[in-house]
Amino acid sequence: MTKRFPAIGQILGASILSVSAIGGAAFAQSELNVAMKSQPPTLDLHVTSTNTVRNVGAHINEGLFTFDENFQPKPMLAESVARSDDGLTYEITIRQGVPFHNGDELMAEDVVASLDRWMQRSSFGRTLARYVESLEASGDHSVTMTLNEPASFVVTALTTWRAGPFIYPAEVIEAAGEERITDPVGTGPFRFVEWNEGQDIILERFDDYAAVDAPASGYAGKREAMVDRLRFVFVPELSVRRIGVESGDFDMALDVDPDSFDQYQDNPDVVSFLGAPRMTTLIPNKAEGVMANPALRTALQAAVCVEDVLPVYGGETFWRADPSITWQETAWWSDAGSELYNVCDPERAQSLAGEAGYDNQQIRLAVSSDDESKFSVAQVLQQQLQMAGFNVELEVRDAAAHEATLDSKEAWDLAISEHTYRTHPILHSHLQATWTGWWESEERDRLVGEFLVASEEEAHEIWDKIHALYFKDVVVIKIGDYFEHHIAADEVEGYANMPEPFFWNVSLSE
Amino acid sequence: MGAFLVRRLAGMLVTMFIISTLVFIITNVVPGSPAALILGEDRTPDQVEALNRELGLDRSVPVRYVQWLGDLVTGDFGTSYYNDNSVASVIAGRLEPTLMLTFTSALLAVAIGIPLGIIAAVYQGTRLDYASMVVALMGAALPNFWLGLLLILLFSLYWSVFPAAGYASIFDDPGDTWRYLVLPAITLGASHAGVIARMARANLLEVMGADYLRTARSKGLRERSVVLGHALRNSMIPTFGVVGVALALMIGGSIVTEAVFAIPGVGRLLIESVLRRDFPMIQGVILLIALLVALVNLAVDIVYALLDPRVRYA
Amino acid sequence: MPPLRRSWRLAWLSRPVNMIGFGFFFLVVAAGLLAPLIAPYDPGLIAIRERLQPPSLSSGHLLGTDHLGRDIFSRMLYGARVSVIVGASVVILSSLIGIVIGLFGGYSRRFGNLLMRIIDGVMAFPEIVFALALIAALGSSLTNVIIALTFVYIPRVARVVHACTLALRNQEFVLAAEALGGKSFRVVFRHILPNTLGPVVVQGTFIFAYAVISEASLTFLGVGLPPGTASWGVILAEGRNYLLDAPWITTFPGLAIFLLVLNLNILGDGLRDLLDPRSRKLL
Repeated sequence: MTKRFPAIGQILGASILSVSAIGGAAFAQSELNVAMKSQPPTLDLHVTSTNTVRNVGAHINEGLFTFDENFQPKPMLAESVARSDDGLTYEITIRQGVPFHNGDELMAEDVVASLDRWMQRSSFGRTLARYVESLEASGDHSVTMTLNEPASFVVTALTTWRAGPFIYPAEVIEAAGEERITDPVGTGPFRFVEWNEGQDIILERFDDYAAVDAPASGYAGKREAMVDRLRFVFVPELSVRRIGVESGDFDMALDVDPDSFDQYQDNPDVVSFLGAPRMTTLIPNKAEGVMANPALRTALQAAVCVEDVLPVYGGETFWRADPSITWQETAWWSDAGSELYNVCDPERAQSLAGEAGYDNQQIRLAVSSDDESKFSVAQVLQQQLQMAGFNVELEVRDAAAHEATLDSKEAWDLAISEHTYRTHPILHSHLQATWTGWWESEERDRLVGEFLVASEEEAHEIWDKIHALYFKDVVVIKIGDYFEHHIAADEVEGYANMPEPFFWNVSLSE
Repeated sequence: MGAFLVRRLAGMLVTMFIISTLVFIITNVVPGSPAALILGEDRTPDQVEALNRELGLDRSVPVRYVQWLGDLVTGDFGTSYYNDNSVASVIAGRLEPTLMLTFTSALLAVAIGIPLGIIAAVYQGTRLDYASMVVALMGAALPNFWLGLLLILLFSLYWSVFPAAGYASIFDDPGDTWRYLVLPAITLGASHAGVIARMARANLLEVMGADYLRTARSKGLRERSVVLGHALRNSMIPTFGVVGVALALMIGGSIVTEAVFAIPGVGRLLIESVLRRDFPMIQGVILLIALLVALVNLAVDIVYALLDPRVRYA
Repeated sequence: MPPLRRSWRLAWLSRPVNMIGFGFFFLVVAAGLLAPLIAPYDPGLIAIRERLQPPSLSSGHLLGTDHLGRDIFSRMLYGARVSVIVGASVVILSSLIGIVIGLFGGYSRRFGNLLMRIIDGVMAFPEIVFALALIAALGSSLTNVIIALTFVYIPRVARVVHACTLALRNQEFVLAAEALGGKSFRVVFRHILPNTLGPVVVQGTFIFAYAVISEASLTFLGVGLPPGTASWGVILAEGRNYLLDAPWITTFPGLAIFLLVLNLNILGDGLRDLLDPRSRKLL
């Protein structure tokens, strides 16, 4: 059985995930076991965009806003938001009577403390911070944010899901100081119980949870812990995660191989989920080395045939060729500049390379040995580019050494990235000159500046221009989209299959 | 005996100091950024810098070494870079599965290896000898991660007898602990069972050729009582040494087994920490392994001395 | 080494066990050497549309293909070459260094004891932990795996040579040579070294086997050979995610490692009977 990600709109009507399971909560001590590959480095949601952190932490902490199933921001801990006519002041009202897991009520000071820290520590927070003049509590349950120039993306930024502005009690923030938060207290439907190092993290239902009075939609609306305990188990071996679900040890396994998909189609005990699309890109180092030559980047771009790369992600269900660096499922999708996507013309690439003055210099493709799919993509691309006359060499390192390499301008020429899509273009880290590959561009800065203060329609036009610039400057070479594969035992009901997995509103039948 | 112990313990301390210094040097020259791994794909250079400051990685290696050593003397093993927990408490939390696994595997290896070796020696030159030794050799030749995966396939997936992965603490769930340990213990024990069987056979054969056994035989004792009554006990002393060595090696071998079966022990902690460049954790784990190995060796020496009156503590 | 009569060697080889052990080892070496001639495909050639094909006689992929459509049979042949390179290099290097250390340790009264104490200390340390730390420092590559494993196995050789040297140095022919005014190193190389070679060859066979397994284990843990290399350890490590969908990927390298190590052990036992009948205890 399968649930595709794009079908989330109808998910509540779908047969296996039907609402008939509401009575399931009556059982004593139900436990949902979710197997994931590795354990998170921390439960501090502000400091890292690592998805293991968010997968666990988002059950404990909540933000002011979150996305509904159509990726529109909806209030979560916020009650409402009002924008002044000049666009410079945002007054955010916070819901009353929302308790933290420690029993204290959520107050404006908690929100201010959390947002302040987030704007210092999170990379997205800092994007917003550049526009923020002041942030203060204007009442027990209201917060006022004043901007130094109008910016259209305030609510979107506050809705960020990765390294997002999750709310902690002010004293937890204060206790952490400059360090990471070690006391994960939040307002979420589950509360933190224990972390057995290397083994599992256990959460349990928070009985006093104050749910939003709105139907569940995506991450938004009513959240309810339908199981007593939620346990995240760390299982490094992929096959073992799968066997665990098939044999009943686990209820869900995240991130299993797509090639098992066909097998589960005929298996009534296991449900396959196609996760959110992620994008694969080839990033050239635009600061130093051979790839700093834009003409050579254009030549390389012309040599790439995505249909010969994407099958590393499994059968055709699991990938699609798509030129956009914004999500096909959102209004921000764009194909401006896409005539340079998937050109797949080695001869043209060769002549362009000649014109660019390329004389068989070595091109270093840096890749981490720990990430199987990126490594596969790198191997296929290496062969493809070599055949088109580029002297590409793989430089394989383990994750820690690889990441350190990426931080150094002279150490690499090409790298592979598997990036989660952002619901709003401005949240894309590509846009920052400090991101991997160092895209310095005055035109980009000018366009982004215009984009941030533009009206909705204008913004789309400007975004198309930025998008075309991506291709012209060859900021990244887009390969395509691929889908993650999660599996669940058929007892699992109500799993919403949003891009980032979550397990409130999920119950176990029987 | 007292002086012997003191000398051995002093030697242990020196060895551990040398090992810890070596490990410190090795780990700190390894290229790699723990901060980049923690911060994820959207990190910015100033975030990396700030985290490096928080971790103390902005200081030079000698300064870090002196500090680490100073802390160590006061019993402070430091704090994990990766998850900010105290190294000592993380290791303490992960010690139980490794000790249980090693102990069970050793028990299994002895329970299989020694009878196999005895059978082979008693029936030396027959098909039984030959078959036992082939079994022993096969055990020693199976790459244990492959064996582990095959066992999971058979016993977890097809027959659903044992859980595929994980561990249940003997303090929380003693009834379940053994179910989680069976497959890993077979995986880890198999190769050592082979070695022990071969050792037991060789030692028994050597002893059986000795003069006093010929005397015993000539007195008319049956072969069975010759073997069980005299030869076995004397051949067990050197075999016991091998068990000690095997136990020490298993502490290393558990790294692979723990990775396959997702057992949260110190072996997996070590490999995870190496991949994350969590230097304080690597140093802590290696120090612990060195200590365990030294203790096992010390215990073996002591038992040796007790069993064999010829050994002097010179 | 005591001179062997021709009939002895023939008798040794004609024992079926020894013949199998020796034969399989020879087969692996031959496969490795002749890989470029026998292999139907380039072991690194990616054919993404032919990925995960099961073994078949008709498709041209005798042992099937892996997740990138590479021919497993070809990769296995080249993998034999890697195993032989790793095994042989580690054996030769660790033997050379181990012999020097062992001879010195056994012959020099002053430093010998200290040196062997250190060797004992290293040997007590779990070898995989040791190799892991070294490779973490050096980075993962074929050369570095060989260097790390060499360090790991030097103590084994050193110990064996040391024991032989101690036993030999008080034998009459050595004492006689010394009495006749032979220089120490001359005595060592003329009279002691040749007599240690038998046990070293036996030990070398076992080290070869351990090196093959250790390379695969380290690779499995992600710190051995870089992925993409055509080696048995890498094929196994890369194939483990497909254990349930494409079991053939892991089956063949697993079997090959198992058989090679098994036969090396048999060969080692046989060689011990032949070259070093006294030291059955040194496993």
